[in-house]
Amino acid sequence: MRKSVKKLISILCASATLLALGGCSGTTGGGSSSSSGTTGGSPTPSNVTDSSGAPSGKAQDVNVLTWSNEATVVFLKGIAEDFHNAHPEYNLVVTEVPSAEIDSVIQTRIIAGDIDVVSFQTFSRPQEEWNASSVDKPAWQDYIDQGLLTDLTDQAFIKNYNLDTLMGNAYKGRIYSLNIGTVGYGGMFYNKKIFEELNLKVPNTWAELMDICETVKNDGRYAVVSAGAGDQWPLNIFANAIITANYGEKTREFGQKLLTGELRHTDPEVMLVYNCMEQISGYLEEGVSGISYSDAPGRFALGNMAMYIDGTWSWADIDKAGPGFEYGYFACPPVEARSDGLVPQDAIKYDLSFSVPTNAPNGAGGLAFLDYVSQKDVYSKFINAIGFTPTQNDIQLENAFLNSMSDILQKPNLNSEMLIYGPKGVGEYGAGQFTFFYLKTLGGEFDAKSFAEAAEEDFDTARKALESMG
Amino acid sequence: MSVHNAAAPPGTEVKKRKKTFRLFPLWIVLLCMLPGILHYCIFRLYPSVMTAYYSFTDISGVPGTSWKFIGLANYKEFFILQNARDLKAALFRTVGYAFFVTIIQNAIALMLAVIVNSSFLKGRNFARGVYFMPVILGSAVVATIWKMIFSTPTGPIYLFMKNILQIPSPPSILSSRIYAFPAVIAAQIWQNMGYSMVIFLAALQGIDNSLYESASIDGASEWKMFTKITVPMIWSAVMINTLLAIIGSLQSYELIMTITRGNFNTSTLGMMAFATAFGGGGATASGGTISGLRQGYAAAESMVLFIGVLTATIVSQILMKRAEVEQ
Repeated sequence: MRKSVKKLISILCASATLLALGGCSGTTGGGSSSSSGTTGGSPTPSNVTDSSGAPSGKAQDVNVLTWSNEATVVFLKGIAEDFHNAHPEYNLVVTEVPSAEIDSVIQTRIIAGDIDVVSFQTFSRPQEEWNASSVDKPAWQDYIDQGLLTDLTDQAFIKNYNLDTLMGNAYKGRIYSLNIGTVGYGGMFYNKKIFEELNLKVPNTWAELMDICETVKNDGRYAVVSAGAGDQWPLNIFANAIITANYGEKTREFGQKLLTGELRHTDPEVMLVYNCMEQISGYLEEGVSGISYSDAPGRFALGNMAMYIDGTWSWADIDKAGPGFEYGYFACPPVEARSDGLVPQDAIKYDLSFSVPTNAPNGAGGLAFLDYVSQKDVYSKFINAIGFTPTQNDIQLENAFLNSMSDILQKPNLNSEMLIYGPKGVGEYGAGQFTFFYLKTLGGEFDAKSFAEAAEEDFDTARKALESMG
Repeated sequence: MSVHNAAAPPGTEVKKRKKTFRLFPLWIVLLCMLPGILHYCIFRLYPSVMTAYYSFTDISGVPGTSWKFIGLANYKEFFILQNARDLKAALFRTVGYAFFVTIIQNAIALMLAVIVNSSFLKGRNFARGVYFMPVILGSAVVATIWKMIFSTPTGPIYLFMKNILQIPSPPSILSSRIYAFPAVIAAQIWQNMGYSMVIFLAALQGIDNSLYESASIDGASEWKMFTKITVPMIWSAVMINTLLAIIGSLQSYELIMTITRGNFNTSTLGMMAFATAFGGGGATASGGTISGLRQGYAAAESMVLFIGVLTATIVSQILMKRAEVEQ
């Protein structure tokens, strides 16, 4: 072969190799330089501009990630133009993902360093000194401990909020997530027309609730209770509601004692919960475990069921599916009537909290967005649109449904879902403690007693395994 | 391949080789292979080796954060800390998933390939396209279709059980701890059988028709011809399809994630590794979640899966080759 041909082939091969590798290094290098430009500190306009490389004068995107809640998404998209008018240097871009996927998407987007604002539901179940050996850190705690969330405590807009309320969702006395509101999800919606027709009243005790169920069942025209149980959690939240309704302020202690073994699943205090679960599961609509959560509010709005287990946030979906449909909401009643004379109180959680990752490509824009939604007039519209209980003071609620809830929100408790742990490595019955789907009434293998025994056995096994691991 | 010719004088073989290499010297061959080798090393080998290494660390996966070597702690957590009953069930599910997918998928694919290869079938090309379509749909679309088919109380399966089979309270398939897993297997088979069918079809079309004509003249039955001519002649395709099905099903997580999210006893090792790495249910043998950022632990799960895939591949290949020899 002639030397010139050899040279040509060599040059072509070398060029192809360099091109391929050059392309790779270009992408990688770009990614790492972008991330290193903002990692490790609060975002400021200077480092953001450096990392994005956007020409001055061109509006930068502020990417907000949230889960699919129609009211929230519609509102956020609706304020995009006003936000841009207030901050011409920014464009608001809202990305929604299904609620079941939000945790994994937050994780991948934060690690990728390509999101400016992320939405958390609540900062619950932290790893603390007392449980450090038996539970893992939740992801949110990892994010904060690894310096991935911006400390918002000293931001000016924090002063617009009720600080006591915000501190309830704080970590080590610092605020890393701006909580927009709280929601109740310790009860169920009810169909006012059916209740009136059958002369039923909102229950104050568990026995009264069972009477209502029995009355509707005997009438035979309507489904008694339903839920979007195909996604599991929409039904399981009622098990948490039963705990909170019966243990109120002592729910945290209840969860701690269960984890440490001081309280066993087979003890009467815990069996009460399993028994209530078994009783209510007997009145659930046929095929309830196959009904997807996205369809459930619309099915309730058809008017063929008396009660529907869900969080109060679903009022917008119900309204949309059945304009004019009349419904109310009551909290899960305790076995014994409250001694303070109040009606059963709702179980709540912090919902929709916005955080700005420290490696956000446009962290300054993210903070500008938080500042914007914290302005009283914008916040007021926001809270009325999404139907949450406000975390700012003196907010006038225009939403009739929310106003109707004032009675059950006089003394709400944090829902037990936020306060109950399972030890690391616990078996499925223990991991699924207070999960309806193991009950025979829902196609599972247990009655209340044997379920409690299986859960306790799994807890015991996990505790022993943890001990053996040192 | 040898170029030695017994009739040729000694040294001819060397001479011919030299002639060949004169046209493409070794260094040029290697140079041409370099992009491919580098691509393989950078994007395949290096990540695989690093996954093995990370499985002995507590790395979180967040760039710039510290991590350390923790020995076998991740493996101990996987094998000792997890509930033994549930771990056994999860491993059994993983093997069962691969077993049923491999057997049923290939059996149906072979049957379809034989049918769409038949000369008597009109609209063969259309039928081939229809059977192959699920392959190009993607997991999200396939999952949506099967979720609709199995949905309660409006899906066709539910209505069939209720109205035709007269079952008073039909189970909700996708939220049943008994039926959800077979349903996911069915979806996986449906999605991939077209791919296997195409491989079988290509092999069937490579069989010389004169073999069947000779057998027919000798009075062989259709079944005899199938078992004595068709199967041996397409055995290499059987081996390829078996291998692909085993590896694909053991590593599969997309359909499980999109249909059941690992709930209702459907989580397999592939799903567990994915859910641990990226969050969500089905990350543990018990169907729960792994809190926090645990890429090191996810890497350990991936290594367990890798060893499983490797073992299954080797065993299946040995068995298939033994069967080939027997034939």
